[in-house]
Amino acid sequence: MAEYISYNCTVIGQRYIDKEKTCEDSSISYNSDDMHIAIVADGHGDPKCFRSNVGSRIACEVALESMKEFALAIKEGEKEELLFTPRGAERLTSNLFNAILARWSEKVLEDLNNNPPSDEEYDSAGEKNATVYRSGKGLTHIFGTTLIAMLMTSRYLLVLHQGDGRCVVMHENGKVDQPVPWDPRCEGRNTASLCDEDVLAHWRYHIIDLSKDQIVACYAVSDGIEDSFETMKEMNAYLCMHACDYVNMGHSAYFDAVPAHFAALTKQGSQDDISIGCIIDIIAITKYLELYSLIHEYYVAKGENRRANERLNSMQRKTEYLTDRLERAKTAFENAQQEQTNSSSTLEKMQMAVKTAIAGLVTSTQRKEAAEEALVVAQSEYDQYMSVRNEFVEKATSTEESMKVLAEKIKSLSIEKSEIDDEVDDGALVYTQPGSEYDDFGEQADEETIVEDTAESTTESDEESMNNSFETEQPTKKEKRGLFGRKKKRKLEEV
Amino acid sequence: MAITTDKMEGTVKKELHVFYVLDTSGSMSGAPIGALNDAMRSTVEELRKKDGEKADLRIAVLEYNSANRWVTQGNNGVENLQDFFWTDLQATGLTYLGGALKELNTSLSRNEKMKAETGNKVPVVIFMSDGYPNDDWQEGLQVLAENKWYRAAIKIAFALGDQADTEVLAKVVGVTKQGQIVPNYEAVIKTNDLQAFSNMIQVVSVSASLAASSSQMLGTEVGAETIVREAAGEGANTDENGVVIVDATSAGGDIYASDATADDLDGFDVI
Repeated sequence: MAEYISYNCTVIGQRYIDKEKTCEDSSISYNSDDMHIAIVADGHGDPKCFRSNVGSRIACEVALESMKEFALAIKEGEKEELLFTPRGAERLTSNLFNAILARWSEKVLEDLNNNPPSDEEYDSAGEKNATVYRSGKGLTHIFGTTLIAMLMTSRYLLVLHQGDGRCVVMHENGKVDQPVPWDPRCEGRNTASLCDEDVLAHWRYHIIDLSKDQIVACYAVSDGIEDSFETMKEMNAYLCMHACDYVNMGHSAYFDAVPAHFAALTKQGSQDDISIGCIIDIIAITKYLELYSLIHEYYVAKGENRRANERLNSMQRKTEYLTDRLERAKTAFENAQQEQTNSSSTLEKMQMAVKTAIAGLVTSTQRKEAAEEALVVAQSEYDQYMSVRNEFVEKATSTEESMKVLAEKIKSLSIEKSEIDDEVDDGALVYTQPGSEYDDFGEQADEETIVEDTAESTTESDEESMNNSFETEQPTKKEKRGLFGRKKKRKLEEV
Repeated sequence: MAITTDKMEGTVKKELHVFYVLDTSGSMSGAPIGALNDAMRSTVEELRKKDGEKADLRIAVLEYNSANRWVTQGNNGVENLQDFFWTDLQATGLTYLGGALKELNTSLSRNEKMKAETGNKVPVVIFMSDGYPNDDWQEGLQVLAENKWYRAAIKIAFALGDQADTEVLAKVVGVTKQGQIVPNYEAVIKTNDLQAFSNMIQVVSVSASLAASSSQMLGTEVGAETIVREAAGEGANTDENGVVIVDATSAGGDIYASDATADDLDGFDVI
């Protein structure tokens, strides 16, 4: 036993909230023992349709009244079975749609007469359209709206449709479809409208014989929902989820939650007004809760998978570009790194050289200091020693002078030459006149030469000879010749 | 499973595809190709400001000279605006427009996005050329005229310089929804001024993308000619056929502001 209930909900689109405009969608529902009705109308956002919010509301109202009358009339007239014949369906639904359209036109013109558009409203339609409207032509366009109306009785489901939006039907066999033929003109940004001049040629309908095809639920949704999904199957799965939620949550809890949910949906999705009308069998739907839940999860995952792959494809070129740039940066970095390594190596070598040089400097400084100390010591010793030596030099010089004087005196006193010669042989006089007696070749120099040598005898050689005289035994005559000969030779070389 | 407000699983904004078909033949060498590169870079930035407002923008760039090449890759030449970056084009070769039109048709046909069931946005196609085609462009146009997405698209052309053939461009953008080729001179903007071209291609791109992402009543849609007229501004000059002439002194050069919002582009914000 089916237990149908209908409900509806309309939420303003995020875009209209942002622009402080009114919601242009409308929806309505009706429940009685004989019938359930759910209707959705989407007023056009086109500036030319500046009263589409009124047009959509009137469309819902007149469609509801017309459907009620229609359902009762064909039931009382026992003409319901005609709905299942092509000609009968065409004729009966045409009558219904004509009635709706006539009432809608009447009501919108009534609104027009009671509340003529202001100049501001006309101007909002654009100059060209305002001119047309002011001439009294095409004024129903300002109320432009779509319409999806669903009528469910115990015998049939009847759907009327003009313009965009979708009607989704969930059958008892598990199938979910959109049985109403699509108007191919509603493509891209275009939509058909109740205000179209050729509306009677393009409205669509669909009738389901419930004795043959039991319906679990049917939804009428505006394009605010449709445009929030990429594929029809994803949208259908989303409505399956709603059917489950309505049953699981219960009417009150569902309607507590659904306005905020739709507000979030329009914000993230289409930005458009959202309207939903539903007729649902709350008994039959329970059999499908698990199936619908899985369907929903499947299409959510499928959609995410598709979007992820599309995004990956979209990232292809930039990925290649960034990869190339990264590789070039890596190469540049590696080159720079190599240069740095080379420079570092060079620096290390130089640092080693500097260390070595510093070590050398330290060593040489130490050596220099040591040498300096040695020098000081040597200098000191030298100075001390020279001081002593000078005393002897002075003594030698003075004694030599004394000897010369004495010799002169002796000579003048006619002392025997042989005595003097004996003294010479004994070496006493030779030591006082070193190097003056012999030339380089060990032969005795003449007297003048000896005198000259003697005059220049305040030399280092003499000093050395003097020094030697303190350290060695007195040399033989032959040794004296050789020694003095070499001294003489050195003396000549210095000269 | 329950309806929530924090996680809208599976929901998306509709995609709007903006195609640029750009002439990079040798005659564009020098300042023109530089201006084109600069203009496109600025245009992409302007489009980014509109991305996600009404639709998620996708961009595709096809350059043609002696050959044709999709600058963009990804999904059959269509990239997310977030992933798109402009690489400077080089001018070389001849003007093989016919080949480019065939390639455009191929992309529009095979792009799964363009076959979406849930009221996808019609694409925007913007052409730019500075010369006369060197190949059989009419054959390419005949092929493209069969494409339903091209028929529905908002199509606008820029004729850059005196050598640009406005008649050819008017036919290219003149494919009707029924597939007929009726020259639409009013959807062609001609200019010799590179700065004016840069400004115009930005405002036209943004305006067209806003218009394409709006749903409107049958027969009353904002067309390419309206977008061009609005972009050129009041009193814009036209030639004898109706081609809009824009130069440095045109009022249209002033109507565009980089901080323009959807509401500033009056007449386009029509949802």
